Amino acid sequence: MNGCGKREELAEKICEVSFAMDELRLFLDTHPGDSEALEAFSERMEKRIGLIEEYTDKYGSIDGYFVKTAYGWSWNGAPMPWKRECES
Amino acid sequence: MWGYEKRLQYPVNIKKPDAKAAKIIISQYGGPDGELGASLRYLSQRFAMPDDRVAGLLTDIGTEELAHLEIIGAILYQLTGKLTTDEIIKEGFDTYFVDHTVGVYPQAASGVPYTAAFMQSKGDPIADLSEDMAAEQKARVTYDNILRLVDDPDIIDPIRYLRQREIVHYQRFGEALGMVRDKLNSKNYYAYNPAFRNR
Repeated sequence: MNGCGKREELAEKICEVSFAMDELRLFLDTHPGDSEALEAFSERMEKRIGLIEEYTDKYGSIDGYFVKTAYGWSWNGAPMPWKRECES
Repeated sequence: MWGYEKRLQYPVNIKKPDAKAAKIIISQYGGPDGELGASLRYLSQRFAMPDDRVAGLLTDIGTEELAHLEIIGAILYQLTGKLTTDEIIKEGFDTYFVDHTVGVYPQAASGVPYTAAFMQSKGDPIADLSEDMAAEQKARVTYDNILRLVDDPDIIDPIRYLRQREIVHYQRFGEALGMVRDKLNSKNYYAYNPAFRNR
């Protein structure tokens, strides 16, 4: 795939912001009134929406409900997450 | 309903095949304290959980465990995908290879296939959440043991991440147990099962 390094960089940003939200989601499940955590969650959610949109535009779909079909079907092709696409 | 995101929760980038490491790490795929059992345990227990906040937490942690199962699968794939027949024999992977080639199969390091006998769904919030806390500790110990047995930094990195998640989940389950206790009769909170009362 072209621009593998840049794709990985963007994928890593999505990974980071998503993990922060995974962690905050569990924390909020048991601390629903924590205003700092609520704010942190909402900030990251906005950032993540933008990153996913950018990734989907450039490299294809991450989310099976959000697939851009202008250039065909990008959902069930490379890169598969368990493979090391960029080095081999 | 579940959705799938085509990404790992934490990256796995292992450059060197290592059948010996795969033989022990497979226990976190389908072993007694592995990610498959963790996920099925929480996703099954939540139906009988009377407190919706706790049922929601079980859903979220059970979902994250599926992402961890995928991380372990990725580790196994990268450790074994490019092994040669010589390496498979030399590193003692032949007994697995004969049954599964280099496919990923849920089993313990000892070879015992995944079984639901590894877990419980008791239908009692105190019993189930106590099991969940113990399960997180047992998984943490398994990761500690794996860290004692492997030395490749590419393997150590995602294993350390998974180990840390066990500690966070343990903390959250402890808080959930507190939420359940707060709703029970404080004088004798284990006198009856709040998921099956007055029947």
